Amino acid sequence: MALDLFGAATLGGLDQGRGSGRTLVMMTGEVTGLQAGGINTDVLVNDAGNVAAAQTSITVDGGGGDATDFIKVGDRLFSTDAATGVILNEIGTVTSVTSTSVGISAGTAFALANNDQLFVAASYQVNADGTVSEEGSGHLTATGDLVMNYGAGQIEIYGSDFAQVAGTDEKINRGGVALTMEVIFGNDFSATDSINLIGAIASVGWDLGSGTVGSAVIDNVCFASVAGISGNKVTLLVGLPYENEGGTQLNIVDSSILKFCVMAVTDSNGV
Amino acid sequence: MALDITDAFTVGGLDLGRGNGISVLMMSGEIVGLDGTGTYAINADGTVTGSDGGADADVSMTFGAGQIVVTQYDANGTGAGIEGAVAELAFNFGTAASTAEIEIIGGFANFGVDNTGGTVGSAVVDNIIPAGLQAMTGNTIKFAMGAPYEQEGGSQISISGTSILKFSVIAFCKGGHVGQ
Repeated sequence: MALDLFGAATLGGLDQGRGSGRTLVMMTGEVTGLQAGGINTDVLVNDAGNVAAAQTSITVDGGGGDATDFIKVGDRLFSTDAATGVILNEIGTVTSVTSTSVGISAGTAFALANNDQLFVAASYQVNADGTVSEEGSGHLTATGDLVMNYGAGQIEIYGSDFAQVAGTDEKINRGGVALTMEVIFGNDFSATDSINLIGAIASVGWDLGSGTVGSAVIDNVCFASVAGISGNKVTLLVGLPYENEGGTQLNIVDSSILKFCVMAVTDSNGV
Repeated sequence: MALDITDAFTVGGLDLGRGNGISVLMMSGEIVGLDGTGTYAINADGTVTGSDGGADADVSMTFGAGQIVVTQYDANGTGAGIEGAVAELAFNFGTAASTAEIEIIGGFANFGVDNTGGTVGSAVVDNIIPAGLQAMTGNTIKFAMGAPYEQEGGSQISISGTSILKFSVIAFCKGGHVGQ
């Protein structure tokens, strides 16, 4: 016996299952401009005494001398460990910023060390007409960087790792992960007040060259893992270009294009 | 808001989207003889007709109909074509690639390989294969078949003409069905 996930039809041997009322949602498209979700801001924690958790202000330097060039109010702020670059922590939402300080009124979610890298998420809003806009400050994010083929909601990208090839200026080390992509089937993330996703799957590919977003020519195999599902959000870890064993790992760059297709199943107990 | 692509229900904040009437398509089966090009037509009865280097017996379908086109064989993914890919497979949900009928809006593939030369139709998969989304146009969805997944520090395994690819491809299409 098989369970009909949707309860929309009972064909042949399908018994109607617990999934009655479930729905499929999908987003497909292409995205580039990955620097917006990366660490090329080069803004660093500047506090020899380090920053304990729950602090409301972070003193910073780097980034060309003015943090406001890279970090704006409303941005989601992340950090990586200065020594190893292997930590990816979400510090909080930026509530104020000057050339040398970043404010988190709710308090930093994690402790920070001197010279830890700081960076923000790229965030795109896609309305029901398919129009793309920048969410929040939209700093470094260009609406033309995202071309949707299907779907609506919100897409956030962060933790882009541009330097997996040894010898380059590696500031973050995410193993085989190229970036984190959050796909939100709604105007904003909600864990409780919107649809409830119960499963998701993604297929992806890389155009590493200088193609045109919206008509990418895929030249690298890629795969993605579901890292989390909460409320109306799917969190994906998108892999670096798949490299055969013994080959040379290729980097993504700001102009690389990620082609994606994300499908999720929603439960029936939404709003 | 989110778009309900199946039009089965409109729950809570779901807006009825362009997905009105969207259909789910699938092809699953096994294919051998990847060491070259091959075009395989599968009719509604499941009968396979090979051409362009492909033989009828190369494909054993479990479900689905349409056309499968194999190109860009590269035994270990180090040569020409897509980096890390040993072949490219286009799945046409129709008698041939066409933009005049259905429009695929998304899809997914699961691949595995029997690299020990088993029997197509009863493959015993012994290698994980990454499947990378490559293109979606009209009734076609195309995936790059990655080289057999190898743990770091291992030795890359090649595929050959006797390797059997087990595949399951699901796609979603909207509107424009033939006759509508």
